[in-house]
Amino acid sequence: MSNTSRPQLWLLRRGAVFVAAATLVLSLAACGSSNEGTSAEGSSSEASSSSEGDSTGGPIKIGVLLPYTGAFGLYGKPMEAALRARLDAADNSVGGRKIELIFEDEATDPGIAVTKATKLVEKDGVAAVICCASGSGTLAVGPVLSERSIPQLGPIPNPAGLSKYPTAAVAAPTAAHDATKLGEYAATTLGYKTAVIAASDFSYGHEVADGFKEGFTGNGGTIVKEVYAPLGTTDFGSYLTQIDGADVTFAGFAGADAIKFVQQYDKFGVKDRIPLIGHGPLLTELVLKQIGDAAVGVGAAFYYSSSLDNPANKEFLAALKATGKPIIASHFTAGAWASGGVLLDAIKRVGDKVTDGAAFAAAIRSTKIEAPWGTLEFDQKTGYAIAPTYYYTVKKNADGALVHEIVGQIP
Amino acid sequence: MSPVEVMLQLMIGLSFGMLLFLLASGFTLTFGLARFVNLAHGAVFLVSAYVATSLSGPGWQFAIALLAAGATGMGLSLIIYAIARTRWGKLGGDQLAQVLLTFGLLLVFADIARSWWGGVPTSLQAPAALDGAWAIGGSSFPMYRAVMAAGALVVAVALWWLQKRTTFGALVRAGVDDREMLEASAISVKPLFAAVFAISGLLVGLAAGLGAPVLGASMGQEFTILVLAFVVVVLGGPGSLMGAFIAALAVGVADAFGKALLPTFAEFTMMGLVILVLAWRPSGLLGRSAR
Repeated sequence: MSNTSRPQLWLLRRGAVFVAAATLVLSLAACGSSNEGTSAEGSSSEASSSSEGDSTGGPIKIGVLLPYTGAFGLYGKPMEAALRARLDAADNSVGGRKIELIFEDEATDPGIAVTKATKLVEKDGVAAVICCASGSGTLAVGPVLSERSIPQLGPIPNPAGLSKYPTAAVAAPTAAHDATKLGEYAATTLGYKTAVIAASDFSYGHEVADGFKEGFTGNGGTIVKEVYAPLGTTDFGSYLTQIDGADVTFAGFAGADAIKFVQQYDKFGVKDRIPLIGHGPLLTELVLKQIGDAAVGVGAAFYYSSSLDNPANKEFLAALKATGKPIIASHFTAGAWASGGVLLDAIKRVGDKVTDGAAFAAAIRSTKIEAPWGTLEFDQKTGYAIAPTYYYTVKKNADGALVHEIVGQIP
Repeated sequence: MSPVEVMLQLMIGLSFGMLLFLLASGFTLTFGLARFVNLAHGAVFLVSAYVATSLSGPGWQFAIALLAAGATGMGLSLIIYAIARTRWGKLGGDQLAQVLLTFGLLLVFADIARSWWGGVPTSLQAPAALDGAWAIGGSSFPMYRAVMAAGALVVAVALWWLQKRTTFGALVRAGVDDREMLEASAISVKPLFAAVFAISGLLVGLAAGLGAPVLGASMGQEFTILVLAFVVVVLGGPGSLMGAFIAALAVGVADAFGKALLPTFAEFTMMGLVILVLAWRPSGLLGRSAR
């Protein structure tokens, strides 16, 4: 038969064709989203063109890079709404000067984030940039803004790589900070002697795992096993059966992985034998309802929870409600809200020197305001926020909804 | 590993393998009969999974969610066929055009799902009666996994019956073996293709619904599921349901033991299996040239 080798060639060709097609379409998609940005920018620069050339009387422009597409695409719109709500509450002005926000899509892609940051600075002439929700975007934009002496403000916990830029600041503690605190808390107050670490096999997972390990072993605890699962693991079953012989399990997962891990941890009966604790994103308000009853009794350490009882958080929750949109209060939206507060406060103090990047950056770092999680101020050396770490567990309240129950602040 | 642990991993692997068969069987059918590479398969799974999870509710509302997922899969698959049909003359023998078209549809479907459901990961509540766990040694095994595997097995048997025992099945098999000959026997392949696309969509929709209590729905699934389907189909041999069945179980079990024994290299075990099998049988376990 002459055609016996045909299927093989046919398959090979299909493979090559698939790869070629995938590359082509992905690059097309990237171009598409950058075009999207330019059209959005067209309207915003038009709106501000009337005030160009007037450096003191015109609005202060602030660039905002958030992910509207890509893996973190779901966070863009709610964060934008929270940030706008904070500025609306201040009438979008400080001391008579208007503040104008220019939003761009970082697309969960560091390359696009850099392009957009450059555009915001060179074309729009922004005084500062709030960036970003994705860790890779934040770190990639760091040097771009730093060498132009434009202040960068990170709205949520970002990787600990921004410290080297004096003009950068992050309105949240590092992820490792809260995880280290949890390690200490688990070894001391909770009284666990041994622990298993299960975390995502990428930078976030390793960062919180290392933090927990440092805090836990530093206080006499022993890590008996570490399991790292790839990002987007479909089935955790086989990983879970290896979790045994420890007092507690520490989990470092986020998003869809967090939902599947906590659910399957319960379904495979591991929760009955070994309690589960984790870093905030494991049980954040965005995933809690989807995890369902499997989350009851699981604990986490984080700097924010929508259950926190303080005036700033109440004001934030009321403002979210007033937008009339179904926005979930989480550290993403609370962080965007607090970043707005930091900007307003810093601009008020720096006054007309807002275009002086170094002075504006110094004003941002010396901000001290009440954020939804408590007093927000910055570590002068690293630029990361000094924030309290809370420990909470999940419980079911009277009407059957799952909520965080704040156990206390970890000292 | 103790015998109990081996048994536990085997159960995890087989139950996941059954689900893999369900989500890959439709892919292998269109691949084999219509010579059509449907990359949008992953997005059909994603949308069906979102439909199922959005209907999550107490008790037997699960059944509604499952049926809705199957119907969604079937509907989307027929839409893909209708779109392909308009340019069948060009698409028929041209894999590059098929890949481009269906990859485009994959992105479109996935983005519609993102804007509709907001990109938030969701999950489906299994009925309480099926949601318990069995104690095995010191561990336990979730009952729903067994239900999921049993459900997939029922569909697999029905599919086997359809293929081996009905005229429709005979026509499909004839189409897979030699389409030109089938057409020469005065049998129109158009309605046959439409039916195969519908069944393919139904299968992946059911897989999405049945798997939702375990896998949930989340963005990015369109690609992970597509890769899993590709692995199973290439391993089993395109167009061969029996091959896909064996391959799916093998992949499931290899994946379970890979995660248990070599967690760091877990992603590699599945692909390692593909490399080994393809080196031995380049057109898959039960591929056409293996006959």
